[in-house]
Amino acid sequence: MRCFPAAVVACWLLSQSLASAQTDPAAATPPATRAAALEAERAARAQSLQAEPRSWLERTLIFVEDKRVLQRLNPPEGFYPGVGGVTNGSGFGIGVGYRRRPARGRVLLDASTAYTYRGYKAAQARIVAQPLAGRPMELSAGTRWYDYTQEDFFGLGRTTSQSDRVSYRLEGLDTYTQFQARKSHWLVVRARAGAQRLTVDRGTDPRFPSVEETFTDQTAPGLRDALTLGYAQASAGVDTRDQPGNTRGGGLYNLSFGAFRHTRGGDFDFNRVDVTAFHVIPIFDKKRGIALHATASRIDPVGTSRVPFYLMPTVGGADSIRGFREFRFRDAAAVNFNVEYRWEAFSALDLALFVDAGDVGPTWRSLVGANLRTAWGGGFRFNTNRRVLLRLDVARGQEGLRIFAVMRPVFSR
Amino acid sequence: MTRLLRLLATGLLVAALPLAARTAAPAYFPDDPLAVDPESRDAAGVRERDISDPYDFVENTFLKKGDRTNQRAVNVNTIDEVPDSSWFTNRLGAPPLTADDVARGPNLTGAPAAGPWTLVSGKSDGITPGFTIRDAAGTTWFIKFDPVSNPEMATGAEMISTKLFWVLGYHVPENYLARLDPANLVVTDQATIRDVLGHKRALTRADVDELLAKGARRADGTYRVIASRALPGTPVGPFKYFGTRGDDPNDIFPHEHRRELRGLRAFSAWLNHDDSRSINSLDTLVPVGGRTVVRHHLIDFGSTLGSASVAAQKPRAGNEYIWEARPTLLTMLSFGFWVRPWIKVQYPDYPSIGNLEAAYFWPERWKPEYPNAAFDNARPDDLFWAARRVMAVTDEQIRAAVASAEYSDPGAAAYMSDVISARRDKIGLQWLTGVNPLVDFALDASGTLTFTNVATATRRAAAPDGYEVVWSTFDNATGVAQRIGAPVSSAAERAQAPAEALTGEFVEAAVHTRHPRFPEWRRPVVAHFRRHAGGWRLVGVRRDGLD
Repeated sequence: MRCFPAAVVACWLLSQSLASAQTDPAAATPPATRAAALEAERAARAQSLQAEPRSWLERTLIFVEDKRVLQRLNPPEGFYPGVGGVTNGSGFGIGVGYRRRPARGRVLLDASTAYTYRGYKAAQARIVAQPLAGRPMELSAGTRWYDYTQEDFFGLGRTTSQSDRVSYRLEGLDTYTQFQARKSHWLVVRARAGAQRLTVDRGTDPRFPSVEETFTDQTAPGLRDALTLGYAQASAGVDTRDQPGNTRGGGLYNLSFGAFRHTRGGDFDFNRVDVTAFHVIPIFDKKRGIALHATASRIDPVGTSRVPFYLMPTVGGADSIRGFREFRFRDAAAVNFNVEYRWEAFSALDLALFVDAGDVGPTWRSLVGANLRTAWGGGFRFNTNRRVLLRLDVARGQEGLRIFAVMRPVFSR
Repeated sequence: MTRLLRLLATGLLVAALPLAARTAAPAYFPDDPLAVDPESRDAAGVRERDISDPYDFVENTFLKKGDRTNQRAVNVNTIDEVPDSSWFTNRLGAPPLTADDVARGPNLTGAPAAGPWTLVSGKSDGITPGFTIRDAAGTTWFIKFDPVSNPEMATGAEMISTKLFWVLGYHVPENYLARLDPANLVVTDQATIRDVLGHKRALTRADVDELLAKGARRADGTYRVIASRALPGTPVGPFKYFGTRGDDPNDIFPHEHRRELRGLRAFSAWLNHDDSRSINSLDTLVPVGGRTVVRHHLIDFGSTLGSASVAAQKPRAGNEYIWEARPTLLTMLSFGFWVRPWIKVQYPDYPSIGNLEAAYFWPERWKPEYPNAAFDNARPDDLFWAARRVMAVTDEQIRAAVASAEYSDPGAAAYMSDVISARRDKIGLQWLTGVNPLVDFALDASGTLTFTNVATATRRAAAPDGYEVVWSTFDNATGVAQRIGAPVSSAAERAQAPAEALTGEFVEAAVHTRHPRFPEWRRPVVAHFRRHAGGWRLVGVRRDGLD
């Protein structure tokens, strides 16, 4: 029993009466002063002192803080775990990486592997030097091996059917060198050159036939060939986003051109152009806003060359038309438009309503005036001020309802 | 609910009666009212403990810890005041604090000694970067900076709030404004820093440069910093705003029912101390009178007033908890077009002040970062107690506290003083009027009762229509009052006791106030006087009708 003056005397009497059952009867002598009454109460308390018990949750959180568990998930150096997918549609995966930052942090050495529950595998190693000459420039080189075991293919063109769905396996090795520079905080230029070794094999998704059972090298170019492509890409962009990890204002505009050359025979020489425009317009303040996103991709074979089906532009999926599966439509040209209204419910949660549209065709011109595929839906973004930690989107399109759970912001890939 | 509580209280008394029959205890002891809580037990056995900041958020936001019954604060003395203790020291009152007292505040020992500052450690994690240094006299200091975006802001807030929380009665660190010259820093082999994984390693000059880069640098290359002297005693971790510290024998009053913690809600509202949570408190073991006691401190005022330590205060601060269901649902369901009213608040452009204003501020609406059991339990009598202290701080004292921030912009300093004064007046308007606001009861030898209506005295309310005094004799042994005669009306703040009321050792005066705007003032303030040295001494004050 604890109390001070007024309420007090009765509390003291009760505490004494309870205590007197177990202690010396002499202890029930009434106190002569208030100070003595308090002392008696404190004396009784002193008999049963103990540190407060902690709940399992508190113990866990203290452990997480003391051992810096969250920091260990993404340490500046040493081993680190990885979670998430390795590509769109790969499923949830885990991995491990190791990084060092020699030269007083100006060089990053990083190697990592990942494995998903659908059997997707990836491993990469890279070296990044930044800044160069004290300027916001970055030079990197690396190699990435991947094995995507259950990629989806529905055929080429906009009229393919869901029932045409097949599975294929794509194994690749990409070795590259890249230079990137920023000017005036908003202008970003990038150049990249490298080589890719690509092989298509039987898909491992047991629910669907493998690609070679339904398609041929004519209907799925590159199906039978193991390719080695040399490539060079250049891009320039304007980046005014306030926070790339959770953009609430500003935009990103990027134009990219790439030339891919088959190292043996020139059967698969092509060029690729990608245009991206993304802008978030705050309404009144950054608690709500409209995100506008558009992409256009085109791939042009050189002469009589062909383009491997798995490198063609696609629409459908978590960053495209969200009412359709990942890579649902493929062809030589693709356009994609997204309008998303977002608003902050509270500091850790944003909500969104969106409409997506897009399609594929042999050329951009063929898409002008076409009835685009559309989808609409809503979503939740669990975030910090600077990062989206988890995005849940539910969308309905002409092919039904799709649900996406992605650990990154929308339109970031 | 009130009836249930009364039944419980009756049961409590009945349970105590057998012992009461043998050991009848008086309503008032000879030493009432206590001016100092004796805290008589030795607390040397208290061990250091950690508190998880995220868990503190969870348990206060979702688990609603602490006893939430509506009851009077349990650590007040018989005249409804907070005795001095390891938590609190009554500083406002007689003699009044001078402006110099306020300017000095808790600072007893002097700023860091001139000469080189030897780095002990660097702090790279957490919200604010900083150093621990040892000055030329060997004293340890914690050094904190202003953010690059807001020079003078965090250090200014720290200085002002340190002074004012000290004035209000809390134990706070000695904080000094100081000038850090990088050339004056000495990095020795013993200096350490912890990396992000918590590994301790030697502190290098590059680490120092990296930390300095996060602070606002002056044109002459020096830094304006807060030098916070290490608190006396052995740190044993923060306190919680509910429950008691299980290993402290003196800690017998649940924190959520301590008046100075309930009243801290009003003080925090005044100074926008939205970070008033466990992590910004610290208990230390200190020797007192041959024993060890736990002294409870408020620390780290960098996130008060218009400052959020590393940036200007967010508009949400003080207006909404981090998580609050109603505005979240309203925002969700209205597609974001229900706009939180505080979003529209305009702040003046003083980088050294940050985001602070007094026009939209309203004390009752003010909220800390997340719920606080003691704040939630604050009743009108607790907030009245706190508001009296806030209103007792004069404009001159406020200006003295603001002057300690040494703002380079006189306009910013004037604005800060004006805003603190305006917020003070709103505190008075809100909480001095929430109960029958009578204080300073006295009964002279001739039986003339005098008192003060503090709401009208501070011009927070117009004069009432009048007062009614019910006189009674009071039996200290049984606690029973025997009414004498009819209520006595008075237009002034005085009344004459009938002669028959003055025949015993105790006399009771229950004073009601008639005010057309404040009907709750009809609830009486009951004062008890004890015969003493030929006169009468105030021994009891109770504000009825709040349970």
